[in-house]
Parts: sequence; C-alpha cells; structure tokens
Amino acid sequence: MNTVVKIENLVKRYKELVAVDHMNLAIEQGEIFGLLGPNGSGKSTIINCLLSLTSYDKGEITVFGEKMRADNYSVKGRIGVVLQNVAVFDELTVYENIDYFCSLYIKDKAKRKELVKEAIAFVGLEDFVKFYPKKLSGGLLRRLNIACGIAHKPELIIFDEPTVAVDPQSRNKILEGIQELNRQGATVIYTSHYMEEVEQICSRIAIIDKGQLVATGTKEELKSMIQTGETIRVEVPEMTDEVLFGLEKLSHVLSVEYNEGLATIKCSGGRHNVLHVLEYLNNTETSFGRVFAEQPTLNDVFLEITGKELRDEVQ
Amino acid sequence: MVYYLYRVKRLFRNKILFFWSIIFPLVLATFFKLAFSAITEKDWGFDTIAVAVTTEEGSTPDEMLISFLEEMKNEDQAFFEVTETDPETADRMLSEKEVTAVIVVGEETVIKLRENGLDSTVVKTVIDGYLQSKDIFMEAAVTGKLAQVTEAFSDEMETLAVREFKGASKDPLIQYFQALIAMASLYGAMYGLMNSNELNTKANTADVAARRLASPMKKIPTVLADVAAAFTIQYVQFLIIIAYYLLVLKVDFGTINGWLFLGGAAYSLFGVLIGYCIGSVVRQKENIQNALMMGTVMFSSFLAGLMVGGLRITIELSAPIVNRINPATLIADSMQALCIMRDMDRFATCMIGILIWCVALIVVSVLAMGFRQMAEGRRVKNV
Repeated sequence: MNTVVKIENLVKRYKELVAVDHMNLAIEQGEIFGLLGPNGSGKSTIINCLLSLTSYDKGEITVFGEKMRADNYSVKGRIGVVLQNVAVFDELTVYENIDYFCSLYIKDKAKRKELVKEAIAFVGLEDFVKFYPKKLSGGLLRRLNIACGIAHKPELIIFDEPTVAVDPQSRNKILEGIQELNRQGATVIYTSHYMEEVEQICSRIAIIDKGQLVATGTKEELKSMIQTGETIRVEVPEMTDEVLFGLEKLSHVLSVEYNEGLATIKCSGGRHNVLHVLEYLNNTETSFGRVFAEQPTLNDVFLEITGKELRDEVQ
Repeated sequence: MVYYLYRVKRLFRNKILFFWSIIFPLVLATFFKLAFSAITEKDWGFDTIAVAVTTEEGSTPDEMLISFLEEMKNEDQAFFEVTETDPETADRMLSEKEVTAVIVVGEETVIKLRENGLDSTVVKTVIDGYLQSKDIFMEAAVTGKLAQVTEAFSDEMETLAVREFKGASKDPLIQYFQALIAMASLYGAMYGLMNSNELNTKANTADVAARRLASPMKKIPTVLADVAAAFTIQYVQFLIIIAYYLLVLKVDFGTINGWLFLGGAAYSLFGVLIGYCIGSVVRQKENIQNALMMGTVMFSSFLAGLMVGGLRITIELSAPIVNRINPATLIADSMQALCIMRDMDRFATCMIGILIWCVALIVVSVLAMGFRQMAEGRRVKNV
C-alpha cells in the first residue's frame, strides 16, 4: 500500500495553547481514515496544516510523497476539500458554483463540463442546477458543498465534519456518497466528533484529544485496546449492596454501577457474561426487567483512555 | 478567463455592493438635482465679478495686478470690476457683499473670499496664475530676459483668462456632482475589500478562502483576475453614472472628451485598490474593515465638497496640501480641471497624484501580504 499522507511530529501552537502536540499519522491509499475527537481536539487544525492553510511550528507533512507546501500546486491539484461550513457563493447558481470551483483545478472546458455534470448527478442536484444557494434547503446545500469539493475527481478527499447540523436522512446520503467515492478509488480523510459515523464508514481511525493522538487503528483494534469487552445493562427495581458487591466479584466483571433502577455492568471479553449475570440475579432472588448487552463503542474506548465521555465533549 | 468571468458575474450580482456603488450615487444625484434645480436655473449667468484691491500699510500698490485684472475680458464683457480702496473699506465691501473677493497686496498677496462658489474659484485661479507668472517676471528682470518674458506673460494671461470660461459648465451644482462621482468611484473599495477578504482565512468568508487557497490556483494570477473583475464592474458603473448625469439629469458637465473616460478608469482602479489595501493591512473582523472603508470614503468625499458645497475652495485656501492628497478631491479636481477649466496641466497633476496613490496602495498591500506570508513561513521549521 502507498502512503498518501504522512504527518510526522506535527506541532501547532496558538500562543500558549498547543493545538496539535507532536502528531504522527500515516494514511494509506484507498482508506477512509477517520479523525475522531471532541470539539477543539485539534482535528480541523491538523487538516488546515495538511492543506497548508495555516503554518505550524514543528514537523513535516508529506502528501503523495511530496513535501506539502502552500506553493506545491501539483499536489494541491490532486486534493479535494469539503469543509465543515458550506463554502459556496450566494451570487452563483448551483451549476455555476460547481463549475467555478472545478475551474480552479480543470482548465479544459469540455472536460470540466463533463465533470460538473457527473458531480451534479452524484449528489443528486439535477433538478436544482439553476437554483441559487439561498433557495436550497440545508441538506441540499451540504450536497452542493460536497459537489464543489469533489467535481474535479480528486485522489485524496478531505471531509471536515461534513454532517454537522444535517438531518438524519441527508446524513445517511452523505455517508453513502463518501463510501461510493472511496469505492471509486479516492482516499478519504474524514473528521468528525460523531463516533457512530466514524465507526460506520472508516476503515481506520485515529482518536485525538487535546491535540494528541490517543490511539489509532481499525475499530476492532481500538476496541481490543480496552479492558471492556461487553457492557450489560439490566433494569433492576431494587438492589441491595450485598447483591451489588456480589456482581462485582463475578469473573469477567470489571465494574458495576447502579443508578435509578439501572445496573450497568462492564465485563471483559469473556463468553456468556449475560448468562452469568442473570444466573446470579436469579440465585439472589433479585427481580429484574429488560436486559441489554452491547459491544464496546468508540466512546468506551475514548472513555477508558482519556477518562471522559466523547459525547460529553460534544455538548 | 473563466475565473475572471465568474468574478465579474459575482460582483455584478451582489445586491449590497450594487446598491452602494451605483444605486446610491444615482439616487443621491437625483435628489441633488431635484432639490437644487431652482437654484441652478435662477442663479447662473456669467456676470462681471466685483473685486476690491487693497494694499497693506507700508507696501507698494501692485499696479500690474490692477491693469491685469482690468484688461481681462470675455469678448466685450470685462471679467472683473476692480475697486482700489483702503483695507477697511475693502473689508466692509466684502462683508456687505459688494465684492466677491478682496485682494490684499502686501509682502504676500492674500485673497479674501466672500463665499465659496464658481466666482470664488475663478478669482482664486486667476490670481494664482498671475502670482505664478509674476514671480517669473521678477526673476527675468534680474536675469536680463525681461523683454522676452513680458511678451510671454501677456500671452499667458490672455490664455488663462480665456481658459477660465471657455467650455465651462453653467451648472453651479457641478461641484456636488463631481464629489458624488468621486464618492461613487471610491466605493470601488467595497469590491477591493471583498476580493481581499476572499483570500483571507480569518475573515467571515474563511471557508471560501480556504477552498480557494487549497486549490492549485496561483495567488498572483488570482489576485490580478480579482482586481481586473472589480475594476471592470467599477468602470462600467462609472460610465453608467456619467451617462445618467448627462442623459437623464441633464447635468452640464462642461467639456466631455476621451480624457474623462481615461480618468474614469484611473478613478475606478483607485477605489478598488483602496479596498484591497484596507483588506490586506487591517486583518480585523469584517465589520471593522467595512467601517474603516466607509469612513474613509465618506470623510474623503466630505472634504471634496459632497456635503458642504465649496469646501474644496476653503481647504484650498487654508490647507492646500489636503486637496493634493485627499483621494476624492483629486478625482473631483481632475474632473473640474478637465471639463470645466480645460486645464490639462492641473488635470495631469491630479492624475499624477492618483497614480502615486495607486502605486503606494499596491506597494502597501503587497508588503502587508508578503510580511504575513514571511511571518507564516518562518514558523514552519522541520525538526
């Protein structure tokens, strides 16, 4: 596999704040690489450094084997960018916006026309080509934003939180579109603070917190890094301390929490954890209601490594 | 080219910019015309201008000046009715509006004007011309070229006299309209500022700027295309405004020739570059930039006489350097020189002033952008 992006020892400071702290990443060709972290963790700063939109204090960034600089136009021509905020011109129609941004990369008029047509079809804006952005709904605007970033068929596409403030239906379309682009051969860097999205589409994930790389790997690799293998939630109307201590002593049980009639039992990766827990409750004549068993999520990974919830940070 | 065409399209379709740079000047001009049309029709007419000449105590009367003023004629009608009198009487005549101006001959010849207006402009221009030539005349006496210079002197004075009125506008409101065109031209700064900010990743348009800067488009051609597009729009608007004044409002602009259109190109570029410079130097929030830009344009236009007619003359008499450097005055003065006075020297002087401004604005903008890039570049170290 070819390394498309290599970030070595990257440091970016904003006065006293270290936004990116000795970051090392390698993104391989054909991947959908997720940058997952709470707001303010440094994801967008990494992207800005990668695109040479901002300077950095230390480190080196290589893209397609070449050192990335603001004047490395040949490399820039192979990258597409879809930013968090919709970056289009209100004074141009849907078609004109896509054609304008495509013209920054493609000079040949006939080729550009073809590419713009394909991009419009890809995001499903055929019925809106003559519309001005202000006439489009939020979801359609997002699609236009994506079309402007991918019309020139880039080999590397960077999506910086493209689904923020998007309705679930449009979000799914966007995620499907990204996977389709990847199938067509594009390497994708996808930043988000929505762990479900990252888990859904990314082949490899880097978890970032406070500008530092917390962990990197496939979702399975990340989940295997933590002790929690399964989380069991049981509705228990009443639970004595004795039962609680007894649950904690069961093999594979890592921790037990009891709050407002819900027992949350974290277990290591052993088999039949649910069975053992329910057997114990039966034996102690503890009545219980519904039972839920979940595999660990990236939130569990984030929680166990950083000691805080990814979701909390999102709020 | 595609980039330029889209830029033109975008600027043209921007309703806010369109309003301020074209609709607003047209509405304001219409308002001026409607409000002052009665004055225009009633008050204009070439009359002999009454002036008093007095001599400071201890100084010798300037007989040459008196003869010169009395000799100036427009066909058979005298330009000036000259009254020689003592300083007190002269001041009384000025305050009682018996004369338009008092010329005080002394160690330094001083002009006291009753009020601003075309008559005052004429008196000041003629006396300035006379004093300039007088210096040469006196110098010639020292160098022994008196006869030669005397002949040239007579010709020059005659030319000056004719020039003052030949082709002159009969519309006393012309100064307002000139200041209005100056203001409209300087509103090109809005286009310049908008262009500049679209390459600024810290502005409100940061995402668009980021998308453009992430593309393989080189910065210099991008900036040049942006400037060219802004200039195109601004120049077209200049032409529309001129056409509206001449054809719809029937403003008598004086002599219209090709130089005005060349001048219009310079005014348009001047406005655009002011915006670029503000955008490049002041990397603050856009509302601060806009406030600074609008403040600059309006204050400059105020000094050029947009709100107070004849302020230009007052400034000319008290602080002429302000008129030499104020952007709106340079534009308005160049139009005055070209269309009203038909004074190509003065027109050229104004255009040189505008050119110097343009060069300075480009240099400052480039330096501001360059310094920022250098500062950014220095921070990228490979360790």
